[in-house]
Amino acid sequence: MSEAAAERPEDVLARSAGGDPSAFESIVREHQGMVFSMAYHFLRNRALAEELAQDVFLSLYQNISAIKSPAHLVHWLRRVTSHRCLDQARRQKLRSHLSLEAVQEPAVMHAQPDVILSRRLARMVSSLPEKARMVVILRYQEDLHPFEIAEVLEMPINTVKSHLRRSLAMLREKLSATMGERSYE
Amino acid sequence: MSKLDEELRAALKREEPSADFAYRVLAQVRTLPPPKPGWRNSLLTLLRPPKLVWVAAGLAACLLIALGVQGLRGYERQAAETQKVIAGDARPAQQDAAPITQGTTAQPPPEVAPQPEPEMISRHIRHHRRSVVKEDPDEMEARKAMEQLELALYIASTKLNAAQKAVYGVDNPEK
Amino acid sequence: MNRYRGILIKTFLIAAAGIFAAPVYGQDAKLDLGHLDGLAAKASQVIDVTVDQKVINLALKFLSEKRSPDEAKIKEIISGLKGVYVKSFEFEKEGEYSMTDIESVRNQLKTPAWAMIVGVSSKNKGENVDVYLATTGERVDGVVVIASDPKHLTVVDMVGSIDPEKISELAGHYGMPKLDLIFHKKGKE
Repeated sequence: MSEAAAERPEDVLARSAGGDPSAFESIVREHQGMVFSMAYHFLRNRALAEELAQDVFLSLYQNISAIKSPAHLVHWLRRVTSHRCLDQARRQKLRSHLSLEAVQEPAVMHAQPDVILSRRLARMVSSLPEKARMVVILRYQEDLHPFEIAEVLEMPINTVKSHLRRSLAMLREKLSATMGERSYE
Repeated sequence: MSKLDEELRAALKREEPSADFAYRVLAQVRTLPPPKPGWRNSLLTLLRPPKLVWVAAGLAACLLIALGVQGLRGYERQAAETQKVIAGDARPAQQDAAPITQGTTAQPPPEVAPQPEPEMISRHIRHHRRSVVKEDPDEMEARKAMEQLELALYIASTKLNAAQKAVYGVDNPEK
Repeated sequence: MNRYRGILIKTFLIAAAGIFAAPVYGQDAKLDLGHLDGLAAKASQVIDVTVDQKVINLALKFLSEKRSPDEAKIKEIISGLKGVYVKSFEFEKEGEYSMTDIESVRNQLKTPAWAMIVGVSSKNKGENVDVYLATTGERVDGVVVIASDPKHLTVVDMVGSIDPEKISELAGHYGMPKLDLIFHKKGKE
């Protein structure tokens, strides 16, 4: 176990705020998956997602002294990443290509995870409107409750719930059409 | 938890960026000036141990208070003496006393040190990223091709599964 | 002389049959599905996917062995594919397509190159699923699936040098079944 890993997160944060590059590296490695995944699931492009994630960490470096605790750090990263993604989408008027063809198929259950279904579902998510998309990502990637999502996105909680409800209904409908009958009710 | 919830969690599970991601971030960080400590951190640094800091600050405060009290007493004493002179020599003392208070208001306001500018995110980062990040067209084409292939294979596999299920009555005969 | 001419004609016919058959073996096992396009006007939903060699080559570029072992494996498996062609139709009501439409596909599979390895029918539901394989020795050159029920018709044509063992490795990646069992069934017939 590395020295950084044995340290308390608060101490790593303090060292990083003091300008210790190894401490900041430790923070990057710990949270890069979260930040990258949020960007990737939103943008559906690895290169763009990595660039956005890099920007977020550079911004973190500049503002590390404002981070009060490890929990605050996670919240800050989620908030900044979400807003950067939304800004990026607005700039690019991003709309993922989504093939919505329905194939009436019998439901097929697989013991192994269905990689291709996951990828299709992830693409369906990326075709949702931007704010709804980020709500779904925060809900299912980060496992946040609606009130936490509301805090991150600075959005009323009822709006979060509305986005979730509509998005799930849309995804359910598309998947039911693809997978057949009542698989996703 | 519904099936859709499970599938969404699987579809949106966290993934890692490329292996050299952290290395690239650190490389960029090294080109930046070290982060300036915020006022909170500065205050916290001051308030944190070692206790010697507390002691020194406490002593300095005591000294200041003592000096202040001393100064105040000296002023009061002076004022009292002046009053005695005034009482003993009526009007001329009063006229002399007046300039003391008037003189205070005539003093120029103390110089205020210019406030440091609030911290901002380094402009050069914003500058650098202001332009829209464009996806490589070749990569976009390749990605779309992959999506098309996946769709085709997905449909093919579901049909083949249907056939197998009909033949063997199971989805995965190896089980 | 007439006898000699007869032998010559027969030889010519056999050679011609060989010449016309050879392309089926040597060529990709790609069917002509263009005649099904007329069903699109009557269908409520259509899937029309053409993934030819060019698209597969592009897709192969997208996959990176370095990114994950999964992608490396998928890349290896897909590298033998030459094309995947899908025509799928969903209709609002029954009777929008006819047996002639299906027969026009089946007729292309009545060559020695192709063998039906699965033919499943459900009279109650009116569902049919046929699976054909084109093989050269142990190697599979193509897979065709024709699936139909009163309101749906789907034809899938997978073309390329497909290794049955590698296909079975796709199970779990793309939900592919263990087709080797189907192949063994065919071998026993």
